[in-house]
Amino acid sequence: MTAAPGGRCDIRAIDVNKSFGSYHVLRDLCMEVFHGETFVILGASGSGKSVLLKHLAGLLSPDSGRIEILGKDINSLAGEELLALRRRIGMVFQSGALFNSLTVAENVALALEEHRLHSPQRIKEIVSEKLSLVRMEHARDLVPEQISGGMKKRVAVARTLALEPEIILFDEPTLGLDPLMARNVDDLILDLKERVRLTSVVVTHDLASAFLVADRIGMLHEGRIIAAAPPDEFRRIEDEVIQRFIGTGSTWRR
Amino acid sequence: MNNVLAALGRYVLYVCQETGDTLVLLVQCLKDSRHALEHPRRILAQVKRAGNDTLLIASGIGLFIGMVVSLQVGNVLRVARIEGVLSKAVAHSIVRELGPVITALLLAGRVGASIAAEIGTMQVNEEIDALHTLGISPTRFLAMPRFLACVIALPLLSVYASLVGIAGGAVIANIHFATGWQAYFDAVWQTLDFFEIRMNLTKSILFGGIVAIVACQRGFRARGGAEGVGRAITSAVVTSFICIVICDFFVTRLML
Repeated sequence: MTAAPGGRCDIRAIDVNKSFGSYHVLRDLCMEVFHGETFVILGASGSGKSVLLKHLAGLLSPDSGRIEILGKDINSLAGEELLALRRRIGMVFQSGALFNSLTVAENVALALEEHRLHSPQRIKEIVSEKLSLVRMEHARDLVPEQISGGMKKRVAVARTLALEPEIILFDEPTLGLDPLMARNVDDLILDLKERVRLTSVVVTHDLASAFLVADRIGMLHEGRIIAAAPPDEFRRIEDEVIQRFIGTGSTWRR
Repeated sequence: MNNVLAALGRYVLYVCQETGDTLVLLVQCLKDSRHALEHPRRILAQVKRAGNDTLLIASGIGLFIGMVVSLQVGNVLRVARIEGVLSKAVAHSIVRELGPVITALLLAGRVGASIAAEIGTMQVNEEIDALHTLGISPTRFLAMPRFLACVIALPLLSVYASLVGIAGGAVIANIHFATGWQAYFDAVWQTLDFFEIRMNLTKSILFGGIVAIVACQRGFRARGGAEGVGRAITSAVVTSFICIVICDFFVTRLML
């Protein structure tokens, strides 16, 4: 791995291993993500990107190794302590994972109501504010099945932002979207970076998206981050796997 | 032979794991019940759903079960020329056994299946993972309200279905065996003491808990898209049926 920017380390994975049966997905994986940066993890389909992200969100536990989030070993926590740490980490799922029985506004309000963090009036204000931030205020009374894939992802971002997390994890935010909608989601990530200054981890195999939003890009291959660098440096890394991956992407886009 | 033993071993391990998971979920639901009053509407909505889904069918089944019991028992008693105790026999069998067991099976088929489908779909759509990342406990948010709702709704349904069953028995007792309405109901009220009601309520509270916990556990364990959800529903209903019948035997044995 190349040198990473200094400052506070919000996410640190140390020698993480994970297998599903005989399939070894993560192998002695190490990575660091620093406060306020947008770290993009590139990798082929099936390389374990989503599995890695679920480890960072505490949804999966490694077979061995350690994952520190905001200075705490997430796998050593349980019960209320774990729920409290998870409130500081937001995750936007591939499908959006909106609650289908609730409206858009209710989806965004759910966590605030459940944790009784504010008065009902304040919750309404926060919901409007977050939906405006992702330009979805007009859809507040619709249910998820009435909105498009891109809109679902926007609402999922608003729902995540409602708890004002310190870290936000994006799982394939542009997957399954048309190019225009994909750039729309990229703009949203950039906008959030500008306005909210969150630490973000974006998992994707969309090169255009990766080079647009990243402060640093890491390449996940055979269960390890084989290189991590700012976008310009990343392009110049002389590694066959990386060059093949970038080359394929460029050819495809042309 | 080795393959058979290996398959048997795997099955035993599977049953142990599922039982362990279900008991852990039960303990978690009982612990989380202290938060029940924070969102009473959530529990009320589930009680309403359980009631709406089963009340009409419980009425029909209760009525016909009462009539069948009255007909079968009445014919046996007629041979011994003791039709006078028919009302007591009907009340005993319905209040102690058939009322709670039949309504529990009904609840498992209607409400248990729908709980497993709902939670299973949320599981395969990553909605349960989303709850975790929002710092919301799926047990407290989804399982506990459904558990309490079934524990509250089933005793009400069971008492109601038992009363309907006794009324159904009365119709047959009068038409076929000419016991007389007044004599039938006088004997029923004499029979229904605290012990009878306690057995009915104890069983239905336990069965309600079984239906909800098994359905939630199967829903949370659903994997593999629509097919996985289908398997979770079938498993929830079949497992509930088996657990209800086994539990019925042990409760009856302990209380008699």
